[in-house]
Amino acid sequence: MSRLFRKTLLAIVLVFGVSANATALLSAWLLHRHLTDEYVTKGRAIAMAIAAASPDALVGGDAASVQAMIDEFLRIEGVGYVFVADRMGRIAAHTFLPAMPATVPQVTVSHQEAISIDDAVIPDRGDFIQVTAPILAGEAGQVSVGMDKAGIWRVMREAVIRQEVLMLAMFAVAVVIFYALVSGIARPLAALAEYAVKIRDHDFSATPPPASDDEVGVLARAMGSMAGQLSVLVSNLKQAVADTTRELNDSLAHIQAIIDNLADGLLVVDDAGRATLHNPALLAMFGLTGTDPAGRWVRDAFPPAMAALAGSCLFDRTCPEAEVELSDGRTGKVVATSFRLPGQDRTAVILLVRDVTVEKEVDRMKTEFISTVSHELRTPLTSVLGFAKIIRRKFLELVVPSLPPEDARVARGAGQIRENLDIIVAEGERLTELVDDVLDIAKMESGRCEWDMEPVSLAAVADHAVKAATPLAARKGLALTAEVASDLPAVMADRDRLVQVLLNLIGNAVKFTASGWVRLSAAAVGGEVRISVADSGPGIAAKDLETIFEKFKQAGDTLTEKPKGTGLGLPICRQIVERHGGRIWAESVPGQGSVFRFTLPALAGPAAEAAEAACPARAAPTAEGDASRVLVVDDDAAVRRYLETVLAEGGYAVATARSGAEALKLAAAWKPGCITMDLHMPGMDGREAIRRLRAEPATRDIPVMVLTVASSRERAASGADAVLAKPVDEEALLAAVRNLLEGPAEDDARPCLIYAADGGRRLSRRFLLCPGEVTSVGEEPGLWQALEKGFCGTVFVPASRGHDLDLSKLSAYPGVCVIIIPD
Amino acid sequence: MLALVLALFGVAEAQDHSPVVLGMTAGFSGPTRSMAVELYRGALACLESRNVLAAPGLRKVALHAADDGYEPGPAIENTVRFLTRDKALALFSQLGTPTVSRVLPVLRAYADQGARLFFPVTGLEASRTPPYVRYVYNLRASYRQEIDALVGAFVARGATRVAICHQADAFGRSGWDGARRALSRRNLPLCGEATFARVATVADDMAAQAKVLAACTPQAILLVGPAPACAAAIRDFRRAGLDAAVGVVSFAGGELLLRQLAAEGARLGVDLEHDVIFSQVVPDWRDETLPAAHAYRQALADLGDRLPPPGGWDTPASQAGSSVGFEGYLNARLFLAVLDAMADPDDRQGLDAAAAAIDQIDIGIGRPVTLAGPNHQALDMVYLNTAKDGRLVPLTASLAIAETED
Repeated sequence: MSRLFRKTLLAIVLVFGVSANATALLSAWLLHRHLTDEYVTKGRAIAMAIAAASPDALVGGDAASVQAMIDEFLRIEGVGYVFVADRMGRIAAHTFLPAMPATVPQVTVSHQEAISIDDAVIPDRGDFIQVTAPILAGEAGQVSVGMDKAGIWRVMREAVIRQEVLMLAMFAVAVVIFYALVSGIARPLAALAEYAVKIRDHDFSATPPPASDDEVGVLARAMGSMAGQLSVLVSNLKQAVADTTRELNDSLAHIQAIIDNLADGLLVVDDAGRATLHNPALLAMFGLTGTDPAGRWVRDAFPPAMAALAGSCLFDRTCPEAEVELSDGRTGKVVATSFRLPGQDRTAVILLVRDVTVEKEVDRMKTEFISTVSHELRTPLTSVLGFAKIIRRKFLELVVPSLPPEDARVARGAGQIRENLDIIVAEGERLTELVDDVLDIAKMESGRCEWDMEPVSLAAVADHAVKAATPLAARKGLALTAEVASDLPAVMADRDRLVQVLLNLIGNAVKFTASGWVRLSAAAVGGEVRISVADSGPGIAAKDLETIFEKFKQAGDTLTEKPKGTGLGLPICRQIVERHGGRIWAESVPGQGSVFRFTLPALAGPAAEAAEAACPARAAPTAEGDASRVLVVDDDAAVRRYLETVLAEGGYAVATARSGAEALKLAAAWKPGCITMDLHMPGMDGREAIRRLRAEPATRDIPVMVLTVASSRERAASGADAVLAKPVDEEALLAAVRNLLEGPAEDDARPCLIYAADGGRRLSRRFLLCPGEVTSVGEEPGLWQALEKGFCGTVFVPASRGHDLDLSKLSAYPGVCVIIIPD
Repeated sequence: MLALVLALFGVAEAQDHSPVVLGMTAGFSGPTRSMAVELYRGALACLESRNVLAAPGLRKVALHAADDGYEPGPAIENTVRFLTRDKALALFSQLGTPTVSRVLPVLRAYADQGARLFFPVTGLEASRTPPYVRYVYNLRASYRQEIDALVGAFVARGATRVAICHQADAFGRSGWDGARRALSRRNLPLCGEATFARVATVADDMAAQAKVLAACTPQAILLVGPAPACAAAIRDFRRAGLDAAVGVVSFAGGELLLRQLAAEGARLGVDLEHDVIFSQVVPDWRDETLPAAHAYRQALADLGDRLPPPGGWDTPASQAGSSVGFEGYLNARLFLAVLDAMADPDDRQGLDAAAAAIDQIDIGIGRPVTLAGPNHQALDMVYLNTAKDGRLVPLTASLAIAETED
């Protein structure tokens, strides 16, 4: 039986049951009322009939006749009992068995009431409707007829049962008819449902059920047609999915091949810190070949640096580069990139690891090469430039005066020699400058440059630069002005490099401007500070505005015009500015001058102006015995000879040593008053030699001055008493030696500047041989400021602070002698 | 019910005159069957003895019996049929108060045709009083007279609390009415009353009635009903511990009741005959001093088992007589006297004159009878009996008071 039929049958049963029972109940109720009325009527009729017929017998005392009469009425359907009472109320006749119950109500009917109808409830006999009628208006008595309600109920029950039976029969017939009808509908429907289930299960080969002409048939045909269309659609869809899947697989394989064949190691980390993707190169780099780190915590599977980088990139949004140690002692450079997964609210980090072992090695070798080359270049330059200067001096001091003034030819030759010597010295100096610039840019480009980043006041820097360049401009008759806003924000910068940039730009402007002015200006624009150096020079062609920042490129034709610099100044400037996070560019209108501008990111507040500490102090000069002997230690014979010449010219007895070991012997035997020491020597180098000298009591107190091309750190670490950078200026050398040996000369009243935090009170007085005014600065900016203000004299720098200073730059100030003293 | 058996004298049809027909309807089935059969036999025995001895030229008398089942309806139908189709001269010895009381109006309706009922076996008052007394002639005393005699006997024995147990119909009601009147005349109340169904048999339980009556602790109980009901009532009274004296009226059938009491007593091992007073309206049929009793017994013997009543003779057919049978015999004997007094035996209109002619005639019961009285009652005697060893023993005989007051 179909569900449809069952449901409908249930509904029919319910409806039939409710309606049948309701009808039966209604009928029963109506019947009950009707029968009750009828019984009352009947009882009334009987009572009145008896009342009408019985007066004679009753009056005559013939109870038997009365009894016979009521017995007759007892036979009538529904009559339960009859009794007759005489006028005294005594029972004359009744039909009760075995006795008339006391509970039978005996009402007295008045004259007005023709009749009385009462309910009589008689225990053990049932309920009755008692109709009482007077006989002869009550004069003869009264008759009561009890109509048995059980009769009512019996008739009612029979009627209800008959009705229910009829209903049941009708129901049975209805069910049969309904079953026939529903079967006619449900069978095709069931077949259709079966067909629909098959289609749902993608069985499009199923045949639709035979269709009739009714709605079910229309449905069946429509479903068949739909199934056909669905079949085509599904097969097309399957084909499309297969194509797409194949393409996707190809694409995936393509991408996977790319990832697998990446030379760099690739690692993708999800936001929980788990590795989700990697490639074979990565495993090879970390020596994890054969393992599968996918799904593991990055911190477990890889070095901590990787996890830290991924974490900072995920959570701090900063994705720096880092170096990690790979297996086999190799080094890798990791670049992290965070990205948002498409369609997800999650970020992930891509870590690319590149094996930079070779690059680092190359870098190291390059740095070493540059260091070596610069040393190898500077050493001969020292000799060349030094001797050239000596020759020029001696030529001017000794040869020229001895020439016969009248000999015009000789005089012309001497003038020629002098000019040639000037050229040699100038070119030597230019060559030195070039070497310095090349070293600078090489260091920057290789990233080996050391940066001392700190909040810097641009006003102070600009002031410094302008003061330093003022003499230069003044020589060419140019007006150098500065327009710097006082409330400029501070910038995070390396002060010295910033000064270098400004000097470079100002120097260029001065260099290329024949007449007019050079103006430095600085202003805060937005979140950055913009500095510009403008001049009234010839300007730069538009095509050169960019190229001038490339190495060895200068504006103009370098072949036809004499170069006016190394060509490395602007590239260095660009390196520095970009290293500070800024930009540098040039603007120019040819013929109307040019403007070089650069920007620096501004800090939040203005920089605190460094306090200028000036603490005058006078140090009593001290003298050492046997102060005329100077021991020169250098492995380069030319330098030895040059130093020997210079010192001998200065009036000192000079001994030379080729190596550290030889220097130790001579120092012990000859007892020099002072030693100049090269740091880079074969065998025992200068540092070791100084250490041994200090270790030996006999030589412990001999001052040592280092002359070197080595870096400031090396110089600081050497333990020397004073330092001069090569190429050595003759006068500076002599002054330094003189200071070491005798203290400043009496006539030399040049002041001293002590760079010490406590004003030099704790410094050994032995070295403070200052003939002039002694000043002390505690902070480095104060030192530079003093120098920029044109300080000319000896700068004493404690060894412990020496490594913080750019000594070469310090010694590059004209008229400044730097002495590093032990603290 | 409607089965009708015609008993005809087939052998006597050679004579010129057809027999005079008497119509008797009685309860040949139901509770009164034994009584009806005895009544019929007594009457038939009398009529047959006359028919046998009939001189040539004398009309024979045929007794047509019909069964009414002690129900008024069939009784009326039978009566009408006797009067119309059967051309009966008279209605004869109808049995039972409820039936007779309903037949009385029929007689009145057929009065123009001279319908008369002779000697109904009932003590019904209506058949002795106007308006119906015109159409009825009675032989026996009324129930009131019987009850009065019984009450008188009880009161004589010192009883003051008398109850009644009667059949729930006109018969029982007339007994009740008589008891009430008899007691009130003696300034006594009816201390209790109970009824039983008209169709009660000996198997019926009368414990309920016993309980109702026991409520008033009666010293005497009047029992108004046919033999089976009386037997059941007496049995259950005794079983319920009611040891009051019991008086039964003639309708109980005397010997018929006695036989059933004996049977019930034997079944239960109890003597049910004790302290039961039987009221009879005819003399003792064994009385050798009475010519009628002798003739009765002889006629029974002569009759044998011929002409069976509706339902046949009881087997084994009792050849012994009974009070009821003797009453039937006397009814027939008195009617033959009326018939002999008639000028034209086919004319019902002559019946009244013939009956009026019956005055102080002897029918062999030791005292003359007359039908000329205002109540058309021939005999006012009530005979009280007790039982002893299964037989009725005459106690007293008293002339009942003719019921004329009211």
